[in-house]
Amino acid sequence: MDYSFNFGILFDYGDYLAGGLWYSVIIAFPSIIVATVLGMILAAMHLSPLRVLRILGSSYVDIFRTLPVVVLLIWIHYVLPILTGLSLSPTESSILALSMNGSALACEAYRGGLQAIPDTQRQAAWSLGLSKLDILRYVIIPQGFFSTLPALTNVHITIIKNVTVTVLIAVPEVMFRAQELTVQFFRPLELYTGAAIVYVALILSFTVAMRQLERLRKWESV
Amino acid sequence: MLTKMKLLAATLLFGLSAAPVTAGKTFDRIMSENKIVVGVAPWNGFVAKNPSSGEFEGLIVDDIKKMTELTGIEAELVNTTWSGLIAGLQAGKWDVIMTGMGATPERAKAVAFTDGWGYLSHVALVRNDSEAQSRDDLNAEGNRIAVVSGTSAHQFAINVFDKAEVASFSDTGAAVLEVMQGSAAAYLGDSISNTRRAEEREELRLIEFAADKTEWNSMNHAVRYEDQDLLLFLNTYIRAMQLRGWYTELAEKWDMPATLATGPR
Repeated sequence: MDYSFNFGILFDYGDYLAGGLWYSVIIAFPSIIVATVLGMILAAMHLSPLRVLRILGSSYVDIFRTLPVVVLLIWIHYVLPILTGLSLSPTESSILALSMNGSALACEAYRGGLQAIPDTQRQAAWSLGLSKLDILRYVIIPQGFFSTLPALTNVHITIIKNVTVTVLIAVPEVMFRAQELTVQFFRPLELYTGAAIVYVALILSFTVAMRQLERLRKWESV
Repeated sequence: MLTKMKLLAATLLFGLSAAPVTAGKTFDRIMSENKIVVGVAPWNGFVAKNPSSGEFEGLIVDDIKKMTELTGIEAELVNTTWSGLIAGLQAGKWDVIMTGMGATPERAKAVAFTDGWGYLSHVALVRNDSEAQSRDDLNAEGNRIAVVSGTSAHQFAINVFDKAEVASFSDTGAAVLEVMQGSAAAYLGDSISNTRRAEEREELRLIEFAADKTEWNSMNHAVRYEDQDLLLFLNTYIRAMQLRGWYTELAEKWDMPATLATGPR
């Protein structure tokens, strides 16, 4: 291929490109928190003995897990104001879309982790005289949390990577800035490589932090 | 943001039953607030954020500044993408699109265009080692012509290239890279951007089409159809500035051909 690389542009405009990281962080981390908490609630609904809660939980997961994030984002940012008059900023629309999608994925991660705990443990705890709350506190949640963590980390990484989709509604994050600079300097390969380096650094740091959290496990699953 | 989230949740609870927003008097609001919200998308030489200063620069930015200077109306520029321009206008995110959007009958079904203030033609960008010299050379079996989907160049390519295959891409970077790596024979785009691209990239060369082998497009501002008073206001500004030779002056300042202001001679 006849292409002369000029990575010098990353030295010239790398700080502008990396400045987009702030937007990636303020979108990704609130979305991760909302998705983690909402996913837990949805998993509880999914596993509830009440049919109505199960139906509500599974419907939410089916809708938001299957809906492409791009479509969700465009709907929230452009269609919602037309329908309701409620206009969210690009950052707010992005957090909402990524939280909705992420919570559906997190729910499935929790469900898998909780269902992996053999029912015999619950029965054994019950026969030892533990209350329902104590069973949850001492048996189910500690094991469920740590066995869910690797799958949950995957969901979180997916959310961080999905931040690049917000370029569609012009959130000035790293990918948007790479596009902006490409229009001016015609160096797409160099600038997108720069954007990739920034995202890889962010995701690697996050993964390392999550691994440290995994090491805190006190209860090995049986 | 929390209040907005609560509002959103309430709306969803009521089943999104709200009726469409009634059109506000955009022009009245602009006059009373003395502020117009302008949607712009990056375009080299026309609208671009200077990475060092963070300020917008370019021919269109100078035009917007001139308008604010003459009318006293402050302009707030909202940076977006080309694909989000019309959707944002319809959703009320900005009052007007001022980024050199080409008026086409297809787009006119969605937004109201002002009079044209500038003009561009279509030219091709090929690899330096390409033997092609004209549009006819490019229109050959086995050739792929790269375009950005949804642009006027895309429509032009479909109309004129009956032997070559027209391949559309979502952004210019990808389309130009197709040419660089030899997957496409040419990239078809507007005359100004392609001229600048050819100057910037030594691997590429420009093919300008003969006058009867290209197509001219006007550059316009766009507003919602209900904002006819704003349209009138912008048209008055454009006509007055054309008579004052403002767009020729801008073309000279930004090192662009004089035809940008005059169109085909």
